[in-house]
Amino acid sequence: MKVMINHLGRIVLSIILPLALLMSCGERYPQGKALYEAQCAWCHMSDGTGLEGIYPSLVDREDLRKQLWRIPCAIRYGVYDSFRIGGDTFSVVMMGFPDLTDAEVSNISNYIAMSFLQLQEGPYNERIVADMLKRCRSREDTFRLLKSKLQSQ
Amino acid sequence: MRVLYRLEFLILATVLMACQSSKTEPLPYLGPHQQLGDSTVYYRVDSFAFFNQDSQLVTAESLRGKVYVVDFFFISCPTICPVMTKHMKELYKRYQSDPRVVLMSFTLDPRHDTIPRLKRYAQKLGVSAPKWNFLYGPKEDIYSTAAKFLISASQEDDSDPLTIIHSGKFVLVDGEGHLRSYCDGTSKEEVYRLAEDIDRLLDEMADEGYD
Ligand code: HEC
Repeated sequence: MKVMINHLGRIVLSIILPLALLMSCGERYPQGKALYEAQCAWCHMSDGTGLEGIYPSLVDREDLRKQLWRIPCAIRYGVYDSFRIGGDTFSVVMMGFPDLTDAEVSNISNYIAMSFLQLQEGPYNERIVADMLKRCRSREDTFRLLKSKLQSQ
Repeated sequence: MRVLYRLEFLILATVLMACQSSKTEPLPYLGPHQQLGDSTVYYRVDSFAFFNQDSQLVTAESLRGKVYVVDFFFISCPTICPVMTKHMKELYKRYQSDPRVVLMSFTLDPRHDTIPRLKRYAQKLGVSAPKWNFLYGPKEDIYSTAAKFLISASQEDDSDPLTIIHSGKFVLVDGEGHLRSYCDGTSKEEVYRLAEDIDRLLDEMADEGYD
């Protein structure tokens, strides 16, 4: 019996523990990772590299690193472009995810910041994200802006 | 203990042999066969005609002697298509300089994915025909052609592309329209395996004197 416990202990120490450690160190934001995989990886791919020419890579993006607010804003409100189809409709380039809470947006953003932008620490938390989201343009604002831009052309 | 070593050797030898023989063995013929007297008639796809992104007609006949990979997708597909397209592009790069290999992506949403939109999509992706054809045609023809390639696809609400349900399969077709291999186009590992099958098919064709 003792021998067995000994063995078990060794197995735990030598295999399971390092494995668990290895898995957890890449996953400081397990919820962020899970949500990313479920909602974003379709287009931006699991490794963040996107599809060249169609869906942008998120890896090592200096612009996103400098403007950290763009990630939560993209998630909540989507990304829009102003080309015109027929009358004056606007094409949605990336749909927003308005159902995700501030905390979830924060976790996904931290996951992206650490896994793809190579930041050592996750720069977001719920409060910071709420603040950033207040300042980015909402979907309705963007529509209004695009519309007035098109009309003045 | 000695017996064990011998056993190991045996297993190793068998595995090695199995690996070698799988290289030379021809790929299977997929789909329903027909027995006509002594000879077997293998299933093949021998008739279709669609326009590609350059408004050029691509037909089963025009692809005779080529090895081609088929998938069905649509531009606004929010789920499995981007990764399928990414894997297709890997194949595009791998066989860029081999004119015997052709890629065929049929749109399941011809209502929105018009020829100019397909053209723009290909341009943004940095790829072009005749290596990679993005194919457009009447909706019924596209869905019935999917069935011919044993790929399932359906659309519930005609006006809403989000109701399109389809398989992410890549199907490999030989110079005579026989289906010879397939894989899950969303899995990188499986697509690598399909590429090995493409190489085997090219070897096979070289042996048969195609060029
Ligand atoms: C249907 C495909 C699709 C999905 C799903 C998707 N994106 Fe995007 N994403 C895009 C496209 C296309 C763009 C580029 C928009 C443009 O042209 O600037 C983009 C841009 C971005 C950007 C850059 C924004 C900027 O300011 O430049 C970020 C960050 C981003 N996505 C994050 C995400 C996250 C996080 C998710 C999941 C919650 C997600 N995306 C889901 C297609 C997608």
